[in-house]
Amino acid sequence: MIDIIKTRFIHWKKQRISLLFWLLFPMICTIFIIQLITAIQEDSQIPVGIVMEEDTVLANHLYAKIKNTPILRVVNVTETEAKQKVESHELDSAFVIQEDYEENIKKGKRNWLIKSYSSNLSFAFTPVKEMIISFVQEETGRSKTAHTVHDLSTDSEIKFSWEEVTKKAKNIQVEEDLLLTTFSFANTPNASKDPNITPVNTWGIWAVLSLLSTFLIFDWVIKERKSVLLLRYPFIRFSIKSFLLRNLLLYTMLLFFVDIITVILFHYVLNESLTLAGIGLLFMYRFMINLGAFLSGLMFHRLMSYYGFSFIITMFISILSGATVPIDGLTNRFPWIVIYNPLYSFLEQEWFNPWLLLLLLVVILWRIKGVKYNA
Amino acid sequence: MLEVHSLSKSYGNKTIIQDISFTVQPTEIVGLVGENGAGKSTLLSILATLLKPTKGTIALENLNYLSHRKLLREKIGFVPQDIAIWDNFTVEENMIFFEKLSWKNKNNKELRQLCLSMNLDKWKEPVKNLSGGMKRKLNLAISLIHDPELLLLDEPTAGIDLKSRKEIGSYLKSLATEHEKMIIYTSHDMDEITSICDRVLCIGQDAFYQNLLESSGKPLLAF
Ligand SMILES: Nc1ncnc2c1ncn2[C@@H]1O[C@H](COP(=O)(O)OP(=O)(O)O)[C@@H](O)[C@H]1O
Ligand SMILES: [Mg+2]
Repeated sequence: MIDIIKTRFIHWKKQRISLLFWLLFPMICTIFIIQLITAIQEDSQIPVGIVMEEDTVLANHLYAKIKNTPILRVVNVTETEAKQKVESHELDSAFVIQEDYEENIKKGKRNWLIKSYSSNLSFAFTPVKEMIISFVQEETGRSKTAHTVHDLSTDSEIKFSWEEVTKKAKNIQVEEDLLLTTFSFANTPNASKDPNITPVNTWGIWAVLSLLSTFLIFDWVIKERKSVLLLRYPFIRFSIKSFLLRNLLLYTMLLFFVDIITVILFHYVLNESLTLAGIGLLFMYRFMINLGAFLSGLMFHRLMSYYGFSFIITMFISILSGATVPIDGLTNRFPWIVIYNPLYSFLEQEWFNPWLLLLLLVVILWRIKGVKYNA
Repeated sequence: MLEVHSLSKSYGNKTIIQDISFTVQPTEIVGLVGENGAGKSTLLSILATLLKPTKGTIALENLNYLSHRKLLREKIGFVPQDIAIWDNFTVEENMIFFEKLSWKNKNNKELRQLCLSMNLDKWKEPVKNLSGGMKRKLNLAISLIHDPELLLLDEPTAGIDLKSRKEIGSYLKSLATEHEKMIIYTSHDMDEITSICDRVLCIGQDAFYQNLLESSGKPLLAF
């Protein structure tokens, strides 16, 4: 095996540029695509100006709520700036959290808390306004309850302060929000319907890109079976099949090593999770596409047809997996498409991988057939 | 010793080689001549264990070809008609690559010496920069790494300059006499055949080669 490694190193030394390129291609390209999508998402946020006329707990709370809305990009401005920027359409609209906001809420006043500016081009003004009003209404609602409780308790021995009641109400709401979030997370299809979250699947993109790069890296299966060189194999220590299989093993080790680096990099750069189970599934996926590329290589004699096949199979699988084009309509009608997708086990974190077993079986059969033939 | 006994080869009902018998002793060089398509490459492939004969028996050092294919291959060096080397490698890398896969271990110095002995001195040169003659030499050197007893060469001097041709010829001569190898090779160059071969085997029915050979005074092996 050491000798096989040494011969492989001569090849790798010759192709170091292209090999390095295709090894790093899926990892770098995925990071690039994800960063690009994030940037576009940020760019497509609606710019909204907020004027803070007072610095109170309730005003700040409202401000934070607006700022945390994913579709909005909040810009802090003064009222004059707000008018100006809305006029010049730099801001879609602007909202003024007016003086005595907290005071008025506590008093139960519902009008004149927020002032707004919009222009005839403020296409998002109405939904944003509705949203902010609903935030304010939550506060006034809580405040009203607090007043009721407060009024009730003036006569009794227990005294609730206004703050205590609103705090309690907020806590309950936060708990409910939490519940709601976990619910939508466990049920992924629902989560992706949320317009605020674009379903970018880092590993989905990576899986498709590395499928392509693996196929292109595996062109050695064709190059090293060139008919002239085939005449050398009878006069070396290894049969051609054992030579090819040992190299398959070597390539699998190299590629899996790069995969490990990818996992670590994605963990730190893209905040992807880093688990042992994930690495196990990744290895299964790696082994599967290597076997696939290896067997495909054996089917072809001309490099160009093999490259063509690589691109077609990558396109086909990426469409099938919905990684590039959403095919919900198709998969809803034919659910089996999802199951036949070779990326399914990896992306859905299933340990049972029928494609891996199938490809492994074919490679074993290919090897056994060879032994009989050689005898 | 190589013993070939009533060997025939046919594809379907087309007979290429019909009932050939001959022996080759160590130190002997046998030339193989005949027109294109006569079956020279076919015969060499059979002797190299790459093709099975339709009829007849072959034995090398008393090892029968039918039962000892794997073992026999370690004793056979086959130089293919088409140059089978890595074009993107240097001479050195080609030699090391095939040495690693070979049955015999040779160090770099020995490999280099092997190349130098046939005047292949461009050790660090990428193969694609080499002349046709140099490539032929490398093609031959690779086949010699595992020190085969029987060397089979398919047109080793085809299409190369006269100097390289002479160098390969005299190298084969020294290989046979000094290292006691058996060598069988094909060529279209009658002068070359008559100057280095001990005996000549003529394949096919063409009277042209037979007449040529008779006038050269070389002993004929078979018709
Ligand atoms: N696989 C095959 N099937 C049928 N005929 C073949 C096959 N291989 C070679 N031949 C025929 O055998 C003959 C001998 O070929 P070859 O040994 O290459 O001749 P040479 O080397 O003397 O030019 C040719 O006529 C060729 O067409
Ligand atoms: Mg020929």
